[in-house]
Amino acid sequence: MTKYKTINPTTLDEALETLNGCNVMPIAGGTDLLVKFYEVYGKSLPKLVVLDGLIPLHEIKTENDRISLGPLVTFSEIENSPELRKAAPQLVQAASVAGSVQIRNRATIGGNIANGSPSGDLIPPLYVLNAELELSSVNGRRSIPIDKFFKGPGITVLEKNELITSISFDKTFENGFFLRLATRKALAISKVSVAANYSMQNGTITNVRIALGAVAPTVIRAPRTEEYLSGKELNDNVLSTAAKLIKEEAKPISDIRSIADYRREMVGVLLKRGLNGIPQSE
Amino acid sequence: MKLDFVLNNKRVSINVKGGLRLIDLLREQLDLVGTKEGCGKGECGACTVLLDGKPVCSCLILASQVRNREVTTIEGLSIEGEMHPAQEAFTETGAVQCGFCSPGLLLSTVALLNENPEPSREQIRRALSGNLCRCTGYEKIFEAVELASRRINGLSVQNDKV
Amino acid sequence: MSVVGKRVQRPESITRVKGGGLFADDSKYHGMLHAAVIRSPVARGIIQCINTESIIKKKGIEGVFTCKDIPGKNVIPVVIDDQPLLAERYVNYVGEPIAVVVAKDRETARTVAKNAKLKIKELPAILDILEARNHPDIHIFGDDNIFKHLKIRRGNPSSAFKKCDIILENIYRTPYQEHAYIEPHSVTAIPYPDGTIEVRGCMQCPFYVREAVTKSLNLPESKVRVIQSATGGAFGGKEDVPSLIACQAALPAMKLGKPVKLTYDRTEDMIAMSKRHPSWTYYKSGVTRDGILRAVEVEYIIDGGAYSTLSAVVLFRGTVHAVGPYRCPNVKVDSYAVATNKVPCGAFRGFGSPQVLFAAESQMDELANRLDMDPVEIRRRNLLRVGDETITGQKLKNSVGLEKSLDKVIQVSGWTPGGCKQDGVGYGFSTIFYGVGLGAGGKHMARTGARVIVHADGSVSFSVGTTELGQGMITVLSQIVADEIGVPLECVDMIPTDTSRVPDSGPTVASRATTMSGNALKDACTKIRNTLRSEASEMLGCSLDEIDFDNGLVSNKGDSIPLIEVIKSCSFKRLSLSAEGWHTSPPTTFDDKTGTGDVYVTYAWATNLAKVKVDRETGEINILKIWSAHDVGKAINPTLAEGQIEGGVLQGLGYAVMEDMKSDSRGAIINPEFSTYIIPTAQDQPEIVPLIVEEPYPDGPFGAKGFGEQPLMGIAPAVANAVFDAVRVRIRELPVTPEKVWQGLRNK
Ligand SMILES: Cc1cc2nc3c(=O)[nH]c(=O)nc-3n(C[C@H](O)[C@H](O)[C@H](O)COP(=O)(O)OP(=O)(O)OC[C@H]3O[C@@H](n4cnc5c(N)ncnc54)[C@H](O)[C@@H]3O)c2cc1C
Ligand code: FES
Ligand code: FES
Repeated sequence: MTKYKTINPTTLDEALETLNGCNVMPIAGGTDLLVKFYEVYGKSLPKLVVLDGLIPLHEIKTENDRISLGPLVTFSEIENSPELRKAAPQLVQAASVAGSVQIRNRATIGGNIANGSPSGDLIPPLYVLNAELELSSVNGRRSIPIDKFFKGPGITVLEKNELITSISFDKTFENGFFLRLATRKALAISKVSVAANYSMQNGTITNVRIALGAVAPTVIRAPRTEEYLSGKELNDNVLSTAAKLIKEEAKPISDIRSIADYRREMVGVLLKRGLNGIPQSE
Repeated sequence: MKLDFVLNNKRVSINVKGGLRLIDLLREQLDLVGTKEGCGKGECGACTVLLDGKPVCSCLILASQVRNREVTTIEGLSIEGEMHPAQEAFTETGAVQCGFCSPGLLLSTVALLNENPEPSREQIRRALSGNLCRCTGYEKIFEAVELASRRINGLSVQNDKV
Repeated sequence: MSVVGKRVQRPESITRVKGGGLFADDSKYHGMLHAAVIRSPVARGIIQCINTESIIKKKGIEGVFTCKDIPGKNVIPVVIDDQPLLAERYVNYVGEPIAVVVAKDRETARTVAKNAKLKIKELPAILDILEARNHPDIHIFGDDNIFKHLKIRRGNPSSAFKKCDIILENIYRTPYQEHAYIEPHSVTAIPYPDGTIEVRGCMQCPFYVREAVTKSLNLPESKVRVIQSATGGAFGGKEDVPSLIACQAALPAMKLGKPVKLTYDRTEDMIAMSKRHPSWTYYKSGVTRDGILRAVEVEYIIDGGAYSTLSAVVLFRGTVHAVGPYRCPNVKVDSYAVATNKVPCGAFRGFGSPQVLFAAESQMDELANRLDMDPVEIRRRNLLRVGDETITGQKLKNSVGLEKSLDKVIQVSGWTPGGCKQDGVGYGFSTIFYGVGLGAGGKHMARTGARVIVHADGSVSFSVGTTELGQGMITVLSQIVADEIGVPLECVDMIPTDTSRVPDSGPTVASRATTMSGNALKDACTKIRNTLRSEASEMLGCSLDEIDFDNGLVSNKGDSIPLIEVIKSCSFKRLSLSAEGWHTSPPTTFDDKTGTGDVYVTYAWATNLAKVKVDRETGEINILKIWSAHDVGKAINPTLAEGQIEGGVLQGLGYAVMEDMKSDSRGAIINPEFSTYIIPTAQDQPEIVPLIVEEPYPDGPFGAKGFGEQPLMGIAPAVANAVFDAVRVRIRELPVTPEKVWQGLRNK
């Protein structure tokens, strides 16, 4: 079978140069792109720029309090990174529940972001970590906060000739979680997910950031709930109010995986559970 | 395009078309038909092979992505005709019904046992959750993995059901 | 040493764990071409134009074939000949085959097929069964869209209901279930210079395939040879549809004189292949205060899709099983298989009974609940025992292990009435039964042949007309042959099922392979053994009936000689050690007017118990454990029997809680892939406790009766009942999803 033509650059410059041509597209782990293999019969196919050979883009780097991930870091590498487990627990939790072993061994963080699905599991954690994306092209580099990257389901600000070249965030030694509900216990796409990052001091919650997956056209933050929670002492009343508030911030739809009402309600349930320290059920 | 990689412990140097999937390279060009295609979308795991020792779906990898890397298929599990303990265990416990899922499950099992020779039931479940089996209900597969684990670790093996 | 009843290893599993290329898509043939199918994009329409000329001009295309190219009858013979091999004027469902294109490589064939331009005038379609039945204007089948109507009339339900203390009336619904065998369909047709066509592929019923190919290609049966390849799971999904696929490959193979392979991709397989019938059931049942079932009235409708295929037979089984395994003197059942503009449904493990048993067993539980009686007690008061009559008036003479299976589950699980009351945890029972074999719904096929050859070196090969699908038939039959001839199991080999080796043996369905082929093999082995016996009596100088065969030895009192010596001696004397065996099952009957008769030769019985924990906030159902006990007559190989139970239970669990195939408002299936049609993974599997009960069936080989379908059948109601026990929410529409449970909890 001769579906695609491929180009295997070995340096970033070479890759960016190739991407500047027409009808080309990067491929990282291929776990989103090649799924469409059979759907694209007979279409005029882009040339694929295979990113595997760009060694520096596979690295996890720490500088002072800043962590940066190359876009080719896989879900498995995130899952097994002791560094990240401490510094970004929500990201690690998300990486470890996604897909299957086979998928996690190939799926990359860059692909998850570039694919732009509202149910991409790494995205809510990156929102609450205030991640910055570095985008590169032959014309230079730019930096963009993750929440400015998405415009709709599958639609992003990424230019055709651009690559995501790094994902960076400050280490957090605060509390965080990622919880999701899915159609089965493994190999499932999220029906709804909630990620959070916050500090706790003497029972009081501050610096709260909450992001929701699969309940709007893109991943979203929940600013009103964040504001409400900020400075509160966590108790059942506060949690119930927060759960009610956050339901109103979600804008879910019904589809093959679930129904809107349920998704809306579950956002609240997951938030409460996360803040209560209840782990992901498996 | 010339492609060099290691396949089942042997160097291979072969001409391939750029967009070929690894599974097509294996099945169509190299006649290694032990790797199965059940969905072509990463969902069933029948096409599982090991890439540098780690399970991946060969239906979601381009041949050109295995350049200079090591690929192991089911044909590479038995050494000189001698079956891997996991293969023996699969036949002994009744983990094979139709057998279409077996090659993929065996590679996932071998990768698991290499990394973790004494996995718990929970770890086994997690490690095999990317391989669908519609016949067995998985129970005898789990028993097989446990039996292979005991054998590999030289523990006494009693298949109390024989 | 006898091997029947032992946990011997499956002989064929060794090749399979090594990745041996046994499956249909694994083989290549010299000069082989690839086919792909052009399908209807609409649910109902008139074909105005297929531009074959423009297709044939495309690079790499070797041919394109439409209904006009079919030399014989354009029909897939099943029960009623209403389904064309390739659509003629009308198309009746999304995915209906219209033409076959053939190319040098698979990719080209598939690309051209997917992008083929068709002119089809779309017509209004009917997708809903209740709408379709007796639709005034749109006629998909006959003038009422009813493929089949069956009824059972027993006693006088309307007057019996008047005497009941509690009467419940409910509607139950079940969706499609996809077989989801992991191997998609694949077949290769190979033409030979003498005009023979050989068909190799994954399939359950080689004789169905042969009939379809001979009819459509207008060939004599002697010129069509069908050989089963290793088959990667079937569950009913490779019963009737391989006939269609085989013809799609055989037609171009014959025309072009070259081997043609046709392999479906997963999405195509899910769109166009058969499934479990969706159903709608009205169920009314009444009991008196003592918990005795007095009357049942059922209206059961299944969605057959656009063509009749096996719907009439599927409906038959559902109808006969409509009340569950209980005595009931007053019964009225009306059941309908209805035509809609959707993919034709067909056989699936359980064959029309899981749907109606979901209703029957949910209803039983609700009755118990209303009576304040425990779910076991109400079942005990009604379940069938030896001497009882089923709702068709069939008197049960023997082999009724239902109560034993119930006792076994209770004993092993330690369940007690009102026992553990942990919040959110619940237990649910189901007791079910399964009519073994084809029964009166397919009695013309109730025969099977076998051939056994003992070679001069003592090795034995045998052929049967039934097929290995993963269920372990090869192993079980090899065990029977080994014991019957008296050789070690290693010496016995089965020849892949091939229509040229044995007479038409009917299909491998209805859990009949063990009983039917087992008996036919016993017949053949007895003939061979008689020859061996007379030879041995000469060698040992004793009379015929003084001879024992055991453990590779033939003996008479203290004297013995190795069996191999007897075999050699026969061979030396040119005595034939080859024989054909034949088996027909005892007669079955069904009277269409009253719904009475001895409909099955015997029944298998089962009890399931599900333990679940329901999350009250999310509605998620965590299945903690399933106990599943089955009366199998005799387990010829307990490991295989357990494997059938574990596999069937998990498939049943998928049906119970997650599997849900949906079509859109234009009749197209919206989730034809494993990412959206989800089946249980290794992490979704609960602990399953398989339990075997043995109430021998006197006419079965060694007392065995088929039961391979039964493990799936009662899981959905057991789970629904457990969910009710846990949180008092009753779900009457499968699957029991978190969303439904959550809505139920919210509406309380
Ligand atoms: C069976 C299965 C299960 C899955 N389960 C989950 C799950 O549970 N959760 C989840 O979130 N996802 C899941 N996915 C989806 C997928 O694995 C992830 O989205 C993954 O992160 C995609 O990464 P990739 O490297 O494979 O992307 P690719 O397929 O290589 O690329 C995806 C898109 O991103 C572009 N791209 C890739 N890298 C870059 C880059 N550096 N810069 C710019 N553009 C780039 C590509 O051009 C392409 O358009 C699943 C997929 C499969 C097949
Ligand atoms: S064929 Fe690759 S995962 Fe199914
Ligand atoms: S044994 Fe058939 S799919 Fe696993």
